[in-house]
Formats: sequence, C-alpha cells, structure tokens
Amino acid sequence: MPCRHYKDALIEAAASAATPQGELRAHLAECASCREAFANEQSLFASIDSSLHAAVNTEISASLLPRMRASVNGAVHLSRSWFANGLLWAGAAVVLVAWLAARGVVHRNAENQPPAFVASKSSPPASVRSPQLGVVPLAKGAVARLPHARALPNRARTAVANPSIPEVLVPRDQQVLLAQYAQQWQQHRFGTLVAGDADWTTLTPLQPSPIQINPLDVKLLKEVESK
Amino acid sequence: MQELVLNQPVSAARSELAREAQADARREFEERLAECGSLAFRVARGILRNTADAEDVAQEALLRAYKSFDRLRDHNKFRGWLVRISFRLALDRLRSTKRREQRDTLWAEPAHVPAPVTAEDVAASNQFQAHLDRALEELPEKLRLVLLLSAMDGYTIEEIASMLGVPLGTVKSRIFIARKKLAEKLRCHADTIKMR
Repeated sequence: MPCRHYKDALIEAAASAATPQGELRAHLAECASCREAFANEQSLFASIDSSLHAAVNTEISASLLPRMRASVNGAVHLSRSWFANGLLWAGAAVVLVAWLAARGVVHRNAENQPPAFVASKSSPPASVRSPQLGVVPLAKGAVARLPHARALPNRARTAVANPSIPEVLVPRDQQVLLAQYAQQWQQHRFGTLVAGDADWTTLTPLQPSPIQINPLDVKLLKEVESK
Repeated sequence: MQELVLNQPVSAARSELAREAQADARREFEERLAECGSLAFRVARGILRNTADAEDVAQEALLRAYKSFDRLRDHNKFRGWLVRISFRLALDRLRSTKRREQRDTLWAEPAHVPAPVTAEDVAASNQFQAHLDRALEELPEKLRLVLLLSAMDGYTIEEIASMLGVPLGTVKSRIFIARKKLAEKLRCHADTIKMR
C-alpha cells in the first residue's frame, strides 16, 4: 500500500509519464511500498498505451487504398448515371406535359370556334336588322328549330348557349346554310365544306362569241414598186 | 429567339466552369485520399478492433466525405473532418454489432469461444484487452478520440490539436484525463497486468 499522502501524486506522475520530482522523488527513494505502487502504476499505463498502440497501428492492407479509390470512382459514375437518368426522365415529363397541354388547347379550340359562326344571344337588337344582313338569331331555341339542329352534338349546343361566344353578322338567307356549315365543321367533315354542297347543274355552259377575222388583201410586189 | 442566343453561351460557360471546378475538387480529394485514407482506417480500427469492419467503415467515411467535399469550406480541415466522420461511423458500427451480438446470444446458443492454446500470459493479455475495450467504451467520446489519435504513430500532440481545431492545452488535458480514467477502471485488474 502506498502512503496515503503521496497516492494521488504517484498516480498523476505515472499518468503524465513524467519522472517524479522534488518531494515525491525523495519519498520514493525512502519508501519501498510507494516505489512498488509507482512501478505498478507505470506498468498499468504502459499496458494501456501498448494495447492502444497495437490496436491503432495495425498494418494497412495494400489493397485498401485502391479499393477506396474504386469506391469513390464508383460513386462518381453512379451519381453521373443518376444525373443522366434524372435528366432523361425530366425531359420525358416535359414532353408529355407539353403534348397534353397542346392536346387540351386543340380540343378547346375545336369546341369553341365552330359554333362562333352560328352563335348569338336569344334576341338580336332591332337596330342591326337590315334587308341584307342580320345578326344570326341562333340561340339555343333557334338552333333547335333548324333542320339540322337535332343532329348537332351536345357540346355544340352548349357552345351556342355560351354568351361569351361572339356574334357574327351573316346575310339573312344564309343563316341555315351557316348552321349547316358549323355542324359540318363540328364533325370535322372539311371535305364536304369545300365541295360537298356545290350544285354544278346551275352553271350555264360557256358560250363564246365567234371570232371575227377580216379577209386578207394580197398585193403583188411589182405593183408596189411601180407606185 | 434573341434571348435564347444570348443565354446559351452564358449557360455553356457556366456548365464548363462547374465541370472544371468539379474536376479540380475530385483531383484534390484523390490527393487527400492517399494521405488520409489510412488515418480513417486507423481511427476505425481503434474503435472496432476488427480489421475488416474498420476497412468497411473507412471506405464509407471516405465516400461520405467525397459526397460532401464541396460543402467543406476550409479544405485544410479535411483531416479532422474525416477523422470525425470515421469515428462516428465506427461508433455506430460498434453499437449495432453489440446489439446484434446481444440478440444472437438471446436467441441462439452462445458462440463457441476457442480455448486458449497458448501460454497463460496470452490468456491474461486477452482478458486485459477485454477490460480495456470495456473501459474505452465508457470513456466520453471527446476523450476517446484524442486518446486514439495520440496512440497513432506519426501524429504529434500539436498535429492532433490542429487536426481537431482545439488548443494544444486541451489536447494534453484530454489525454491526461482519459488515461487516468482508464487506469482507474483497470486498476482492479492489476493482477492480470502483472502477468503480462
């Protein structure tokens, strides 16, 4: 057992791996039990140090650094491929969204535009009536009375009823014709819009007047020279 | 249209600069990898006492460091940063290993421990090692890291202080306290030490 008075000093000296100085050194020279205790402490700390040293300073395998490099390189390639895949998916998503948006716009135009030719509010103002032109009175009720009105699709009817669609001026005698035209447009039958209803029998045959050619007056050269 | 023409060269230049910066960062990291790879391994080895696990942890620590390398403001602090990453990962690995071992001992038969075939001092040494490991685990992390670094070859106390970004006196006092605490815990096993 070390002397109680020097116990802490002994431990601290061993812990700091310093050589005892002054009073402690003198006491160690005199006291055998303290010398033994100090030797034990030094042995304990030496064991701790050597054990830690052995644990920490093990030989590193030669393949460790190349493996580390490879794993870092692998991470780089992986992140690049992720980036490329991400870009690819983002591009595909943008294209899809653009296509859907364009499709929606085309649909909306198809629904809104054709009925605009036949649209009007329920009663036209008296002031716009004229013998030649009139506001097309093709509101919901009017459309229903038209010969082809029953055949109009529902979305055309709703479009007609929509007050936001602008009114158009058309000749009075062409109101029904325009309604038919709108219906054809609605059904995407553009071919018939161009030539379907043309009445070729009403055309009169071409009658050109005969060509008037004056008779030629032929004179001899001798007569001209003598003159 | 005009905007596209104007923007394109700028974005190209930016991406070129970013690519160059990335390449520079990678080159710098590779230089540091050669220098600090072994340090990360040793720290992990000091905690785990198992070479294969320590290699795994060091590799993971380097990968993490690489992924966040551009976020490190002062690249001179790379060593300390890597040491801390490695230390944390090793502690996590140690904890999970312990949990797994506990589970295994609960559900399976106890693992077969090979009987020591060498001399008595080897047995005593193994016993001491086990006590030391337990005592190290009970140390506060700050003390433990400093103690491990001080046990490594090639690192002076000044280097440890600059690596961890703490004053020299703090490193010295941490080493002193850590050793004292370890000694307190191991003193009762003095008989096994005597046998060494």
